[in-house]
Amino acid sequence: MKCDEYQEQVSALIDNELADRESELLFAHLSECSVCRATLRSELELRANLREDIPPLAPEELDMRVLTAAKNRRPSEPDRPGIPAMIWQRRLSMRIPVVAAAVFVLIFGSVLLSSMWAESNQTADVRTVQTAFLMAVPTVEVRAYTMEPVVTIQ
Amino acid sequence: MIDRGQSFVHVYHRYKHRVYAYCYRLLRHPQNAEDAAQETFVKIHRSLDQLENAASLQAWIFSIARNEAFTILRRLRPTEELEEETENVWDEDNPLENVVQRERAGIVQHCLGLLKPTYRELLILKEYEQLSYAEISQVTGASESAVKSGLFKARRAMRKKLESILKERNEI
Repeated sequence: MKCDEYQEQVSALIDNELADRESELLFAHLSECSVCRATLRSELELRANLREDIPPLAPEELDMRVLTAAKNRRPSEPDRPGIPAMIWQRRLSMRIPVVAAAVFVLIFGSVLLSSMWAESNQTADVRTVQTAFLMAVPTVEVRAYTMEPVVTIQ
Repeated sequence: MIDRGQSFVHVYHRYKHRVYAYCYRLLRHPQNAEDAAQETFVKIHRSLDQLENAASLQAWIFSIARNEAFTILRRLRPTEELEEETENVWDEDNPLENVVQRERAGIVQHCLGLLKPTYRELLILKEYEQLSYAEISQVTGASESAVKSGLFKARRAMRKKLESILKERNEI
């Protein structure tokens, strides 16, 4: 084993997680290796420094928030499974490139469809129907330059 | 089977400081820690009677607290891959500022705050909550060997960072 592997064992040793045989091998190595002994010393020092920290206490407001929430929920109340929301009611989480691609496809698709639709409207039958419709609409002529326009209805 | 009601109040008073401290050390923010702790106990209250094995109560409580704390971390930094397995143990979003001015214990705590959350939580669960590798594995969902090597990497990174900070501090 290399020193790096023994140092991982040192970390497990201070956590009291080494098997007897592993500890034996590690101690044999430590008796010969000053670098790994220094690692053991500094690991213990780090632990001492970390444990100097006084743990923060839960604020009193937490008691009120938690115990009130627990009291409002009757102990006998069973946990009901949530009613699954319909697809359009759900929040979808997607990455920006996916959304951008979807928007592009929608816009491009709608432009393509509308141009295809416009082309298909240029058929002779449609033109005939359009002409007939225009003939049926009365022509309105507005003459300019008069205060009251003269309207001729044919 | 554990019954809800009185059991919950007992569990709450027994674990409230530990759960809050765990969330606080992970999130480094009192209000977020309080929110995570509250959500943890609400979930415990909801599912306490479903817990079959009372022996795993501690690991179960910390696994719920972990989920709540990581949900808040993800909300704060949605782009970060918190579970990413990487050699980089430092949280680069968290700048090292004026650290040389701090006292040693403060420096250690500051360095702990600079670690990536996945490494930070391993040290918190081991050093403060004194959980075994098997319990940490239950809480985090990682294998025991991953816990062992993660703790080794986190400690090695902490030692190196501390050495360089203290060296820099002595040179000033």
